[in-house]
Amino acid sequence: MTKGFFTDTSVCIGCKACEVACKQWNDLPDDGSALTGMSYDNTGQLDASSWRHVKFIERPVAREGVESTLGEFSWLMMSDCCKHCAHASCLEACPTGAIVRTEFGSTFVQPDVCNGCGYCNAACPFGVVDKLVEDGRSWKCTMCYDRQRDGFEPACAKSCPTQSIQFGDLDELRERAQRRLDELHAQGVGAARLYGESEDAQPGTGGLHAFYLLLDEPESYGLPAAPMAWSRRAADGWRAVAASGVTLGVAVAASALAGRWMR
Amino acid sequence: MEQPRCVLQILKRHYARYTPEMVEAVCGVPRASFLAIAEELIRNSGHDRTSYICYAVGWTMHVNGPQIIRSAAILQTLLGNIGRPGGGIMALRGHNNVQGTTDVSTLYETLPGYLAMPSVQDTSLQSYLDRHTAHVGLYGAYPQYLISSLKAWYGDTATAENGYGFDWLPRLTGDASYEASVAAAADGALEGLIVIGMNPVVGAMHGALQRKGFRKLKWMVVRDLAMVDTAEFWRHAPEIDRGEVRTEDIGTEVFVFPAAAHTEKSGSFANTERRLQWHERAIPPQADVTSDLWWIHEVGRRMKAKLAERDDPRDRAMRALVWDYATPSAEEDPDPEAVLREMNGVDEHGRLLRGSSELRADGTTRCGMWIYAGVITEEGNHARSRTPGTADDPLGHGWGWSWPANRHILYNRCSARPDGAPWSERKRLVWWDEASDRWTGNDVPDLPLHTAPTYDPPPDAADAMARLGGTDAFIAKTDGKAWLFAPSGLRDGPLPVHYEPVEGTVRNRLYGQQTNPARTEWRRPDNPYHLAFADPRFPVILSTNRLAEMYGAGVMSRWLSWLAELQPAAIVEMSPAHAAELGVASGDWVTIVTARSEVEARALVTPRIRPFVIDGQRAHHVAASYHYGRKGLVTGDPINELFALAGEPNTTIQGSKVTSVAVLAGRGATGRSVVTRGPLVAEPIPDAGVRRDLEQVGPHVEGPHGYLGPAGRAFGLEEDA
Amino acid sequence: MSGSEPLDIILRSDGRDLDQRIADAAGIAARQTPMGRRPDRPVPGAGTPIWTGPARTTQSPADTYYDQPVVKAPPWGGKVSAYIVLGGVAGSSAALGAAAQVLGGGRLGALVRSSRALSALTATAGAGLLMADLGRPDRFLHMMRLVRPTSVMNVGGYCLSTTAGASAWALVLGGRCGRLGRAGRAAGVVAGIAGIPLCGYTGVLLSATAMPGWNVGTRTLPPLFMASAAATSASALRLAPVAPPGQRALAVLAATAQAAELAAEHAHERTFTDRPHVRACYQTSRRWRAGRALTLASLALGLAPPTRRTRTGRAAAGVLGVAGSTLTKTAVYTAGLDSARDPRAVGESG
Repeated sequence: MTKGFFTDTSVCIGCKACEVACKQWNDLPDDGSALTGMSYDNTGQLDASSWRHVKFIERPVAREGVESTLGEFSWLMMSDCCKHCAHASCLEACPTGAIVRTEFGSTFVQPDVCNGCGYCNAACPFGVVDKLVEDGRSWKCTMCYDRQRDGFEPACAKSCPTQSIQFGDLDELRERAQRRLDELHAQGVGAARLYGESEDAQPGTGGLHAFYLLLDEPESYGLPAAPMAWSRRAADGWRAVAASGVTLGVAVAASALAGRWMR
Repeated sequence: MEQPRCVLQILKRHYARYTPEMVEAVCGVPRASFLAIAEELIRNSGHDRTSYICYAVGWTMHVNGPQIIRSAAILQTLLGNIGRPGGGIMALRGHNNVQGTTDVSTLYETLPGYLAMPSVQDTSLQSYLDRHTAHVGLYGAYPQYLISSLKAWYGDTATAENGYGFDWLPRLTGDASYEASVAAAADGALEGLIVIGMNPVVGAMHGALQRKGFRKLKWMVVRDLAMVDTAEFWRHAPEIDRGEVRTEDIGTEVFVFPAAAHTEKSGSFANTERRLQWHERAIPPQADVTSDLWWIHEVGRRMKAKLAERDDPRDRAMRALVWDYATPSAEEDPDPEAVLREMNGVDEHGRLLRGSSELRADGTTRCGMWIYAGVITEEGNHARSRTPGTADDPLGHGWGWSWPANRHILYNRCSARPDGAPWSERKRLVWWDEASDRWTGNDVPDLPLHTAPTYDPPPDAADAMARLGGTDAFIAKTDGKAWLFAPSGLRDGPLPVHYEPVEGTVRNRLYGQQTNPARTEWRRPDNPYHLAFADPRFPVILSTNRLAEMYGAGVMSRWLSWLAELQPAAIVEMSPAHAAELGVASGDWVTIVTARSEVEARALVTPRIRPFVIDGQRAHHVAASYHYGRKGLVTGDPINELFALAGEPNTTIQGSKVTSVAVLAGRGATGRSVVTRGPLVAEPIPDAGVRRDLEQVGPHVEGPHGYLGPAGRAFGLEEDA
Repeated sequence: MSGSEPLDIILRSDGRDLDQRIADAAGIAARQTPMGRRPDRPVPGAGTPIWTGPARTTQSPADTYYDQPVVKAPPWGGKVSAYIVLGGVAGSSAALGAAAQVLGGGRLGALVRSSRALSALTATAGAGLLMADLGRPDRFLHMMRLVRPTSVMNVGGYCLSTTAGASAWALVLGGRCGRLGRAGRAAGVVAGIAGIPLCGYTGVLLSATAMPGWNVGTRTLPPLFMASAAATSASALRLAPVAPPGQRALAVLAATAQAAELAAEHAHERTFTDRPHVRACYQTSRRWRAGRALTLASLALGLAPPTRRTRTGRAAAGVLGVAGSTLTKTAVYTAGLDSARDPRAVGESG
């Protein structure tokens, strides 16, 4: 039974309960304290020790469907995390088999297998997986695999006070998301859109098990507009290797013969 | 309602100048927006719809804070939103048990259950009761409440002959709030201070003046989760870093007790719904860590032992104090449920009381806190209940226990018409059931069960509750009615008005009186005030706020890695226009200056902050949180060091929401203060037009330590409450 | 400050603020070694106002999130960069060695031996570099827990280990008589076959990632890397003690490989003509330009009659050739890492 996250950013209040709950449940260490200047986002990025990252966008555009005294300004918030792609580049690229697909459909990095090659870091189209140099391994959100095994929802979903982060059966979440999108459109929020909600919508990743409702272009949130499982490009590459390999084989053969036939 | 002297007409005349245009001129809120909000509120009030007004410290931290809240009360009363589901006024408390702390009263002016602390003018139990007992309503039973409390505290020693020990209680002589204590301490008038779970050099105003007072104490006790800034005033302070004060010269003996966290002690939380929830500890405290319950019990136990041999009449209270909570051993906590049982109360047979109506004034009942009566009964500790709400019980009466009497919505008689039928099916809460001759519904009715809706109290009604009519929903008021006009109960005026802060940037457009005339000030060289407004030295408005990631004065967040990294530096938010004027970008240091102190912070430039345009004049606005201090994993200068002592007349709440400041780019001399260095800024050129008080109005009574305020606060001559 | 002060304890802790004497850390990241106190971690964005510029009328006023990167560069350093060169040399020299062995008619013995030595040496050194680059070097054998065709690194690892082992075996035993000799020579052929994908797979490895500077070259990086590898091997072997027939073979291979390399570079550049942010990563790269120039110079020296016949000329061509191809490969490597930092470059990939 595939489980997933539907994160409805239209009700996110930027409280960061998800970040803290994730750290506490997983016993993650802090990752330094630096003021970034990026609004209230001092976490900066998803990394080996931050598996939920709340983003804050201050933009000179009013928010649709809401009356306010703010004029041409609105403040969007979003809790970013691993997307648990249906076609997971990290999983396919992992040479040791450390990254596996769990029975819940999530992707999971086994910390006792990972040898820290770091290839998954580069494979991920969202820049999620991160190798921690001091530790030597790569880490990312597990969708609280241990909690799911005992029938609980992930810590972030449990702690979210506005139900921005919703956890459940992926099919049901997708239906719920579509209803919410229709509701927002009816309220005049034309910019509302889903991100990664299905294979059709995002063929490159096959759809995300942790998908989003956004209120602006993905790029504004630091998300790629057309992400794909880059590991799947390897097929093209191997074909090029094969073709070039034939050429190389001919070249070395010719070279050898040229040497042999030299007078 | 047409009579010109009736309250409604007075209200209309009084608020006639509070027009939408005035709102826009004074607050900067566009008229159209104000009207939209007003119309939304009105549209959602009535038979079928109700509205909540929720507020937090943005309303309270002003010298007229309670009046602001009262204006919401007037509004909600007029709109019919009181005592109805989805209606009312909710104080968003900052902590899950601060309601509990005010219930048991860590406030100096009240006894547990919000009973009045005696003052010097209460020469006897009877004179006190005469002053506070109401003829009509809930407080007609004041004697029952107070005498039951005295019996709980003093036990068998309290008898009718000795006024149940009333004379052993301390007496108020005036303002004993923290602000008044700070001024007194700064003059060496305090011997000792016990600080439990509070970090006042960060959370309260004018930290440098507080530290001056601490240096003159003989002793200080601090109980907290970490070595908070307050406990370290003697070695970690800007004046010490600069050599203005030397640690060797400070004679204060400081005792620090590591305190148990909520995971290490059992007890109850009382949240803003007045709902008590019992909570079990996860682990016992380790090493030297002790719970507050253990500590206070131990202090009491040792004091009683020391005083048992003495005969001084002054010690009678301690000797009479009943202090026999079941304690498994010397090291373990007393049984917290034993404390709850004492609060709940027992009758002469030791049977747990089921409600405050069982209290007696003849010494046969003992009850430490009348509002909690009924929380723990023979069936068990109801604060432990964990039955979630259902469709039939949406208020969730089975989850915890709300005081009083597990009543969730106070004054809920208002949810029914005068004839007892609900105002609407959609919003029904309690209603009169003719068949069973009683009130019934989805909540515990807030008036006597069998008082018919049409009941008209006869002249010889038996007691105060019987003097409430069938439509007198406001049972705690002395006439059973809601008060739009408040002739008593507050020290500063029967109707709320708009006042500017003590230190602002614009003239009060509505009145010649600039700020609350009943406020308290402390006129001392080390507590200088700015001009009331238009002070050329301080042209910027500073407002203070909280951040989601931080809590209070920081001990529960600045010492915790997971929270500290979320907001790792003290920031001051400013508008792009202001930042451009200063030549400052996000992350750069800025210095904020008042006549009291200088602090520095990192700028965060954001269009969420915009200059105020008030009365046609533009003033820049900066906003800073008050959570930061100089100790912890992440640090920053305490913003509250900028504020002067100034108190609200009823509670002496600090007016720390707004003040006028100067903002400079770059780092200054952080923590520099008038307390140790003398005047920081040049004296302003006086302008007769710029004044806080009209000629004929103002706080003219002087008291000790620079006190200047209403007569009643200084010398205990309380106005009738 | 005494050592028992609570703040002290927290500062000595691991960023979790857990007292391990009473709290059991059972979370999945409980044994993650933290990065340590870094109060001044590099701060992207500080000093930059959050919002600048005029308000736009479009719904999307910003095309990035504070100019922050969207993808992460792989956490590789100079070791992987060096391996990309060495691994390519290992594979192409193994192929050359096998071809020389099978088709050389006995006249290319020195070339065969030198090729095997170069292959074994670079393959082993390369494997060592990769192992050292791992976060957990003691777990390098985990690479062989399974065969995962979707993982380029997994497949490449087998190519590398096969080539390394076979080349070493061929080097040690290939010259002998009897069964051992035959086994050695068979190993040489195996090395040659495995060597072909070995010298090209790093191009697939890089292009099957989210780095805009690399994934633009799914079809161009493998040929580029293979040609470059062959050019590097041939150039390097020109400096070895090889008899004239061997030198002739090397001259032919070098010229072919370098011409192919230059053509592949051009083809690669064409993939980002309409991707200005990706292009910028290469255009600003001095290595990219220098590599091309040096390869061209080496090609010229190797073909021009005056230089190609002299030892000095051939040596110079060899040195320039090694330098040029190495620079080209490392230029691609660095351009990809740089491209990770540019969110707009990610917007161009697809």
